[in-house]
Amino acid sequence: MTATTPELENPFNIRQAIERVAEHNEGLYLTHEQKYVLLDYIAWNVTVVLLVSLTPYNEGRLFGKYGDGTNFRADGLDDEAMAGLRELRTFIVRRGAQLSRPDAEYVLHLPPAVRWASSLFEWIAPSDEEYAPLEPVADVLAMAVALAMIKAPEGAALLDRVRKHAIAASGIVCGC
Amino acid sequence: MRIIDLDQVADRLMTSSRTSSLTKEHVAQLRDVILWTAALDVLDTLGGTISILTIRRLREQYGDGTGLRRLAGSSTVEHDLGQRVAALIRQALATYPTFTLGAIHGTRHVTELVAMVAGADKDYTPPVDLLDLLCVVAGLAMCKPSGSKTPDGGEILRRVWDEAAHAALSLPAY
Repeated sequence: MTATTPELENPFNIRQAIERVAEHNEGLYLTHEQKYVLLDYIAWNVTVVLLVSLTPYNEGRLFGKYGDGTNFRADGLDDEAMAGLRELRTFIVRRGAQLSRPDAEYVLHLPPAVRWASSLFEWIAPSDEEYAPLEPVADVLAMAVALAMIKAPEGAALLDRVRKHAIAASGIVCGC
Repeated sequence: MRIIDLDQVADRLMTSSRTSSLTKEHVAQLRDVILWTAALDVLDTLGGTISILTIRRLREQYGDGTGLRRLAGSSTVEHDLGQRVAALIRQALATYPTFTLGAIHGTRHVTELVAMVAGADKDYTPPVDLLDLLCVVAGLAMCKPSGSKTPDGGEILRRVWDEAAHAALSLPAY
């Protein structure tokens, strides 16, 4: 058996999230909608890992304010959550401006960041073209990816690492 | 879309390379021309001081877009479209406070456009500087609200994208 790190066996604590989302189901079979909720969870966790690694943002504050991502689709984003995500977007824009001189550098990283984020959704939902995360969540992810792209070379290594975690986690979700 | 005679451009490409039929490389250049024209067309439609100056400089420096692929990778400063794009972004940031978000939404539209213009050619990718320029102009468009007599940026993009996709239909499949 190939040795894997505990982290890669259960990236982003996905098994725990699956059990929580599927607790009313019989067994671990996931409905279509529940799979989407878990894919949101993965996308949000990628965002959190990037933000926490690249900015002074505090992980507890992110999860405390926005949850773990499983609530985005189930409850819809209410006004308060939307306002929170807008705040987060503003924070990331400012942080991007601080990290890059001139500011154009950050914006120039946005197109490849959006493409990377789109690819992430294809990687985590390879057989489902319908899946797309909610727009504010996708925006925040793209901005976090752009922050990573500014910070070469450690940003690239970080992106590669979270990509592998996300793919591993989605494999577990898709297997349920 | 400003009228582009793709047949004329194709003839010119074949004449300059002394071939009697379009190669895959030629068709890729024609796809570049369509995207380039779409970028200038959006800038044209947006109006304002950013676009007037920018369009003039872009047209003077890069012509009809057929040479962009050849210039890709060139380190010559005067041929660096990327620098023009960066300058455009600086202007945009000063003009539109919401430009960062516009750039994200604009990029999503550009991804769709490139897929439409590429058609069945899965190998086609535009030169990266052209792609960046498209994302910036699409981002600018996404910042434009509708006026009493003018459409919003989203509508402008839809119109230009439809015309670009239509133009791409006339290209041979490679």
